[in-house]
Amino acid sequence: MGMAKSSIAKGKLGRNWVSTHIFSFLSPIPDRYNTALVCHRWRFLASHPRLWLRVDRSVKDLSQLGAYPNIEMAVSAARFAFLFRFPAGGSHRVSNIQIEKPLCLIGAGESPDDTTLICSHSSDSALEFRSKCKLANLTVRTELGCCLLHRSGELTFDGCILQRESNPLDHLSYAIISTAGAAEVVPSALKTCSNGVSVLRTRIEGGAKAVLTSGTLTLQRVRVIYTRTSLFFWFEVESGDKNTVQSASVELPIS
Amino acid sequence: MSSTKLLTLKTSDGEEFKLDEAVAVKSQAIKNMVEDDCVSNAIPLPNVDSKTMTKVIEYWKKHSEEGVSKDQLNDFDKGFLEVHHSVLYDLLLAANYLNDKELVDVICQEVADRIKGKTPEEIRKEFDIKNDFTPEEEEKIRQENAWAFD
Repeated sequence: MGMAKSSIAKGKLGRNWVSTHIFSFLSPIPDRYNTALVCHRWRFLASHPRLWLRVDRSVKDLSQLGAYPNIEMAVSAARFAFLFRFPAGGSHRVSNIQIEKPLCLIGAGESPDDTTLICSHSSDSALEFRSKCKLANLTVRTELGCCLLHRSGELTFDGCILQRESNPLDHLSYAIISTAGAAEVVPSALKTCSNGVSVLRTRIEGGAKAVLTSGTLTLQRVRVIYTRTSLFFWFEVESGDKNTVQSASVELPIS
Repeated sequence: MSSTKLLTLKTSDGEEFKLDEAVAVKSQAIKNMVEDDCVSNAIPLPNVDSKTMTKVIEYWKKHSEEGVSKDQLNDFDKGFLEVHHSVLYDLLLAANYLNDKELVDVICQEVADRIKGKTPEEIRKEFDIKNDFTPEEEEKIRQENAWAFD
């Protein structure tokens, strides 16, 4: 905020609280997003965890604004494209959560190993994506039969770890399954929604197969970097040229 | 049941303001002091200057008046808040220090209204803020958050 010469309130804490309180009156998109682009100080204030939804298992009292004890409650509470920070060192069970509005799930640790989402074999899917979504800096561990199910929207994995438990039935299981087709262009819509999955700097561990596309999207632009301890993948799942063959399923073998 | 007791408030620049206790307790901070019975002398407010205190008292008095309609109050608030952003900020810090939640929220809403619907450059113009991002930093932030936009 503009620092008037007559402003004499002491305490940086008071000033910060007041400024983030102002931002809490703004909708995350587009207004709070724009405040983060004004200057360094505003970016710091707009990113304050107080303004975003957090998943924190120790939360008992739901009147503590913005903190929810589990992912299901946080997802259903999100009215806009909210950002969830999972406290580092935590692991959270996820099962059959449908994501129908733009969401960003971010692990708050220093590396993706610090925050784990675990999906057990008793569920059909860990997360089912029907909207634009981004996962960053998280480990998603899926057990047999469970996967990340992409129905529509743009899904991005940035700096994640996808772990699968090895199992004799590996040939049946995939880390990511996309049933999406190429998006239809609606004449009345101002923008086209595209369907696709983008994977960036993500480790895929365990299991034999990574991606199944049973819709009309295909795997493209695959890059792999081998380090001493892991494989890092980049690939896209999207609709290809009319000239390329559309295959019904694409498997990415991992040794 | 209003008290006719007068309180004395002393601002950072040494000015004294006499005010009905019933009005002054809009400040939770002052209310606490009254209840703890430590108001025999002037109440010191080292974090508020006289210019700002005058405005705060103007707001308190109007919102304590009897027979004022909601519309009249809204009109008053509108005019009251039509000030330079630096005055607004001083008011906000004072209201926070004095712990008057209603006034804090009213001012925050006004500031938020001045931000709503504006681009970052328009916001900078509104609040006289210098852009201290490098073009590379700006681009990086835009890209980081582009996922949320269709």
